[in-house]
Amino acid sequence: MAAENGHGAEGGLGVDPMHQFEITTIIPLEFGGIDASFTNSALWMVISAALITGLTVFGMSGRAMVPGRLQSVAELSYEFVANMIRDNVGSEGQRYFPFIFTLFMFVLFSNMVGMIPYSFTVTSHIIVTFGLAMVIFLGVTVIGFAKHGLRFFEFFVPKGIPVVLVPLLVVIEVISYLTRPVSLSVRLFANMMAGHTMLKVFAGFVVAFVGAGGALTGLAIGPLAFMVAFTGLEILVAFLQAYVFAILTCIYLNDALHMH
Amino acid sequence: MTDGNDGKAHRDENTGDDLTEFSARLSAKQKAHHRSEHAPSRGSAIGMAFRLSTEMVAGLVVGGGMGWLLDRWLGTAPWFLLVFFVLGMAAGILNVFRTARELSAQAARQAEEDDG
Repeated sequence: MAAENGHGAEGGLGVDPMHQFEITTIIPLEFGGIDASFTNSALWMVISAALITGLTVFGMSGRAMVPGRLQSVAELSYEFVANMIRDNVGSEGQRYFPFIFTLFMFVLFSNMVGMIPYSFTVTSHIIVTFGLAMVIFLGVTVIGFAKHGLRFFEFFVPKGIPVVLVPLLVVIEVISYLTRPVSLSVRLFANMMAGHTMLKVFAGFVVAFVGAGGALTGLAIGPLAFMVAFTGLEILVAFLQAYVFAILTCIYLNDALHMH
Repeated sequence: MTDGNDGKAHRDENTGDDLTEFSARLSAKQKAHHRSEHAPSRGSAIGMAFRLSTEMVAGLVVGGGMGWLLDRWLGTAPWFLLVFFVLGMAAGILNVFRTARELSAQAARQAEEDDG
């Protein structure tokens, strides 16, 4: 019954698990008929970006030979991304380090900041992840054409197949190439949204059990324990999804640079 | 600070035997550390299942979407939708196959690293 009251999120036991994903306008803005309001989503993006800037700028301001805690974190994240690029793209990939580092840190921080109660998870909206994925997809395609020229089309022609099958397989390869931004964005968005919805649903169970009173109150410990464990898992997922997002970008970049 | 000094004093006392034993322990520790550091790439089983299913669904969505758009553009409904839906299915399976191959290669590398 609680779930049916989708819009009546305020008040009562009906904890709406989807309420957390609602976009609210903070500063209304409009440019030529386009709604460009500063929303809670934009606010949390700015917070993520500010935290990353803070970490890298303040973390490295000491430039100590023996790093302190903050500097260690900054250096570790640098090395983590640098190694990822070296392993997956090779030395040419180092040119694209700033982009991949920014991408990884933004997704990671958006996911992690989203774990704080009452915050907003930017990456739980498909338009945000799709926007990121589209930038990667277009950028990588442009890099591929810039590096190989029209020979980049050979990427869609599998080697060692009968000539009769070539047209069919080229179409399939092109569709397969076009699925990249879709699968990249859906994976991140669905993971974040599913996890956060699940947390809210179980939080709703706790509230319902406690609200029921009497002997039922004791049962609330079950979903509560689950939530504690699940929050741990969610933090892992937050990191893992940022990692997967960045590593797939590296793989796509490698395909564009080396064509195989 | 004091820790650093103690460590230094201790190091001076070390004989050659101690050093070889220490380097053996250190390399074992480093290996274990290396292994744990690379654990995320292995991912959980549910993560793997999720990755494969998104690849499949993405193929269907893109194939179906392309067919639908072509039909709308050329007014040939439902032919392009049917053809591209099947092609999208093929692309999805191709993606799943590639991802699975990549994942199993990763697992094999991991197993090799663990053994070696």
